[in-house]
Order: sequence, then C-alpha cells, then structure tokens
Amino acid sequence: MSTRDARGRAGRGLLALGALLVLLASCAVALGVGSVDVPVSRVLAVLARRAGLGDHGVDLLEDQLVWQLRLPRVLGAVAVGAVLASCGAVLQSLTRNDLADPFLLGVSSGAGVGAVSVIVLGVGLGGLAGEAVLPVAAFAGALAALAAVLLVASAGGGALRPHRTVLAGVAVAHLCGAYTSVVVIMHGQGDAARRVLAWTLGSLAGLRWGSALVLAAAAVVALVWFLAYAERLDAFAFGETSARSLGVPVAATRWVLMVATALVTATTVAYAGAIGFVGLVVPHLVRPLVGSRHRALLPASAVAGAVLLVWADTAARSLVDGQEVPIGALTALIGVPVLVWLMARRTAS
Amino acid sequence: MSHREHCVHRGAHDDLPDLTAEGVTVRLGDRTVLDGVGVRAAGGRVTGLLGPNGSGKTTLLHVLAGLRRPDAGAVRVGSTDLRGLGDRRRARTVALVEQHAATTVDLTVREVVALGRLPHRGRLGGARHDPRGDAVVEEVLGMVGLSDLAERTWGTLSGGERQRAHLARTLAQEPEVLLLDEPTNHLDLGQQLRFLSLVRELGLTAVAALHDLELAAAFCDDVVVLDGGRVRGHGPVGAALTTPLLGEVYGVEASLAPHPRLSRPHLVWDGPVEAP
Repeated sequence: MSTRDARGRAGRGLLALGALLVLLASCAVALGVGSVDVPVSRVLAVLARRAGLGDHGVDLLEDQLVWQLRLPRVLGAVAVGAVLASCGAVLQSLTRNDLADPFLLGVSSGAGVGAVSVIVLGVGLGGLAGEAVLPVAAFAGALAALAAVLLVASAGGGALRPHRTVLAGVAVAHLCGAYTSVVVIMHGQGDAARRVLAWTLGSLAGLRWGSALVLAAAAVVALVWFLAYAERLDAFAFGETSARSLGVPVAATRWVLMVATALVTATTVAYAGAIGFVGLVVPHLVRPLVGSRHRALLPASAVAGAVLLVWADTAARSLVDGQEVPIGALTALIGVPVLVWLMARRTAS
Repeated sequence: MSHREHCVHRGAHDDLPDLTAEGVTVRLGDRTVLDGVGVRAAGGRVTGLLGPNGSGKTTLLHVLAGLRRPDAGAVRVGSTDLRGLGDRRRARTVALVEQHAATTVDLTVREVVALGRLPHRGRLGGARHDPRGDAVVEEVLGMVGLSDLAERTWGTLSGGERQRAHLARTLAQEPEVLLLDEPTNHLDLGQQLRFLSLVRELGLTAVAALHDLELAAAFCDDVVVLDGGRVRGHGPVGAALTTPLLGEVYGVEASLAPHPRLSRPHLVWDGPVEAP
C-alpha cells in the first residue's frame, strides 16, 4: 500500500496548504538573507508598507533591499522553479522517460548559442547594453534550436515519437555545444570563458522587477495550460496506443505540450540561464507524496520546484561573501544525491 | 440503467450492435499486412481472432479499434462508420485491452480504472462533467472482482490482477464493443481461465485475439482465422476450426472433439508432430 492511500481528500487539502505555507515562509526568510540581514519581522513590515497597510517605520535601505533588489529575485526563483519542475513532470509523462527534463528539446544549448554570440562576439551590442540584449539573444537561440529539433524529429512523419525527439534534441544540443566551444576558444578574450561558464550554470542575479514579472506570467500561463491537459497526461501512463484508445489525440497533445514546455523553459533560460536538475528531480521527489495523477502532481511539482529554487538562490548569493555561487551547481549538488537515492530505491524494489 | 448492466442480465443479444469490417487492407511499405479482410463479430458474442504469429491479428484489432486507418475498407459498429467518429466518441464505442500494457507510473487500481472515464468527460476534464463517473468506476471494479484491491498501487499487482484492472478500465469506457489483444499472455493457466470466463460473463460484443486454440475453442462463440493477412476461416467454433484448415494454417494435425463432460468442443492433436 502506498502512503497516500491512507490520506483522504482532507489530507490532500492539508498537504497543499502546508506546501504553500512552506513556500511563503521560505520566501520571507529568503528576503531577509543577504549581504545585510533583515529580520523576518522587518521584511513583513516592508511588504505591509508597500501593500498600503501603514508605515511601520520602514527606512529607505530596508525598502531598497527587500522590495527593489531581493523580491524580484525571489519571485523569479519561485517562477523559474515552478516552470522547470512542472515542465519536467509533463515531459517525463509525454515521453515515458524518467530522465526527461525541460531541456529535452535543445532549448538550453540553443540559448547558449545566443548568449555566447552576445558575450563573446558582441553580436547586437551596437550601443545597447549587453544586459538587455542577452535575454533576447538567448531566447532567439532557444527558439531556433527548438525549431531544428522539431524539424528533425518530425521529418518523414509528423508524429513526434519520443525516442526520435530525444535523439534530435541530443543531436542539436551537440551541434550548439560545438559552436559554443569553438567561439569561446577561438574568440574568447579576457574573462569571456568564465562569463560563458557562469551563464551556462545559471544565475538569478540579473533579475529586476520587469524580468521577474515576465517569468511570473510565464509560470502562471504554463501551469494553467498544463493543468488543462492533466487528465490527458494521465492517459499516457500505459503508452501511446492505450492513450489513443482512451480517445486522446496523441500526436496533437504531444505537439502542443512539447512546444509549450519549450517556450516557457526558453523564457526562464533567457533570464536565468539553464538551471539543471530541478525539472529532472523534483517530479520524482513529489510522486511518492501526492501520487502520479497530474492534477496533483503538476501543482505539487511547481510548489516544490519553487521552494527548492528559492533556497538554492538564497544559498547562491549568501554562501560566499561578495561572490555568487552558480545556482546550477547548487541544484546539481542537491539533485545528484537525490537521483542516486531514487535509482537505488528503484533497483531495490 | 447503463448499457452494460443491460447486457449482463439479458439472454438474447439482438439489440447489441455487430462489429463489421469490410475489405480492410493495410500496407506497410510494399508488404500487405491485411488483404481485403472481412469480419463480422455478432452482437453479444465472443469472437476469437486466431492465426499464427505475424498473421495480422494485432494490426486488425488496431483497425477495428479505430486506432489505425486502413488503406482500404471500412469498420462499422452497427451502422456507424468508425471513421466518422471523433476521438472521444470512438473511445465510447470501442475499447481495447492491449497485449501486456505495462507502466512504471505508480497509479492505484482505482486511478487506472478511472482513466476509462476520460472519453466521458469534458475537454477540460474534471469530475463535475461526469456525474456518473465514480459510480461506474466502483461498479466495474466490482464486476472484475477488484473492489478490495482498489487502493493498491500498480507495482504490487499480479499479472492476472493487472489484466483485470485493464479490463475494468475498458469497461469504464462503457463501450459497445470490447477488443482484447492476446489478453491471456503472461498469465498462468488459472488466471487465463478466470479472465476469459469473466469476459464471457460480461455478455458484451467482444473480439479477442488468442494464441491458444484450446482457449479459443472453450471460450469463443465464433472464430476468425487469419493467415498471411487473409481470412481463412470464419464462423462458429465447431464449424470453422476444421482439421484441413488447422493443417493448412498451423501445420498441425488436429481436430475438435466433444468435451468428455461439458457441452463444448475441445482440441485434440491427432497425429505425431514432426520435428522441423
């Protein structure tokens, strides 16, 4: 018997409430942590003042730190974590592959091509600050890679067969990786290689209110969209023939969802780089708790991914004084042991 | 009253639609997998789909299920052409128990059976679009004897229990025709007999691809014998499974004989089987 069977509907409601409280508490703590620590009570005071609930004696420094600098970053972490984890859950189901992650369709390597072109070659810099061009170039690169993967995967058929799609993703990723390496080695000057590597491992340091709101919008759209497909995703459990015999238009569902996951993932990559392991590991962590039905799995993955990324980003900006630890390295540090544990558990059962 | 309850308690099957296929041809590249196949599965009867490996049984079942569009020919349930039906309407008309459909997803039995309600729900899903859903799931769980195991997860089930859960899932679709693709593979003898008895008791129009001629003789009303993508025999078990046909299709010397105690035929091998 699985643990979730003992729980009724009320239990699941409590679990959902608890998860949301953990997320909110994590955000409150994260807003206080940094170069200057702000107690949680003062964090709440800043938020209350901004919400128009009295002055609470908030000073300019507190407001600047909490509202202007840290909140966009925390909000961005929530959005990116939610997007990556829910995309991972969707793609693992669509491809029936436990190792599927949001970068399956080549968007991270494609974004890398765009980013490297800006960082190293200075493409499109003409007068504009690199900060503004980088997300645009990364997004464009991601879209180009996605188009290439879809073209290769659907050649001579039209149906996106999972193993073909995975192979096409790997092929395009290697091509993009080759371009990135060649450009860095042939043309990289000064700290270009370091900057490219840092970008590849991801960072939320660049997030401001504008980019955070774009990410939040992407997360909301993605979740609503995926939830509308929750039951059709359940039908993929026993494979394609089974899903079709249940009346699910398999080819159309695959196209719509794969493109949707790639687009929202590309949005996160454009602003935050390719943060690995969240999309891969979080759905596996959540399934034993809430089961495999997507109506529960998708929101649960989103919340768990958000919590994970809030803490990873907090660690990234506070572990080492005056320097950012790459967030992708931290998620890998958490993700790899979890993955190993999951593999061991599966082998044992 | 649901359509299903209806059939279980009825003797005659006049109001259950026939499943008919006419001139079904399927080509894979330059190979003809099915060549002008015509089949009629009579309403309320169990029709066995027989033939050696590679004779086209699975392909034909997929055509009958509306999952594969034939290069020529048509499939009808009653007078309704499957091609004219949308995906969800089709899934409420024909349901398929696949050959050994496996998963690594740890769903419970009830969750698997509830998948069968998908074609009865609105596009956006949700239980409120399917008010009878929970009751139907409970009912079909009872019909296949899995009520007590409803909360068990898939990984903990035996092969026979899994196959019954698949059957319950297709029953939850409330189809007019049930298709089964070698449903007794991977089951031990007791599980095979119990599973096919269960299918018979449902009283639905059913087409089952079977490997085992003895099981077909015991549990089917009619049989269709496929060989090389063509129909070689079609009719009631006793009339269709003749010694010459079995010799031609399977290369064995066998015939049907009356069961010593029961009023049904069973299969006996007549001659020595030559080693290849």
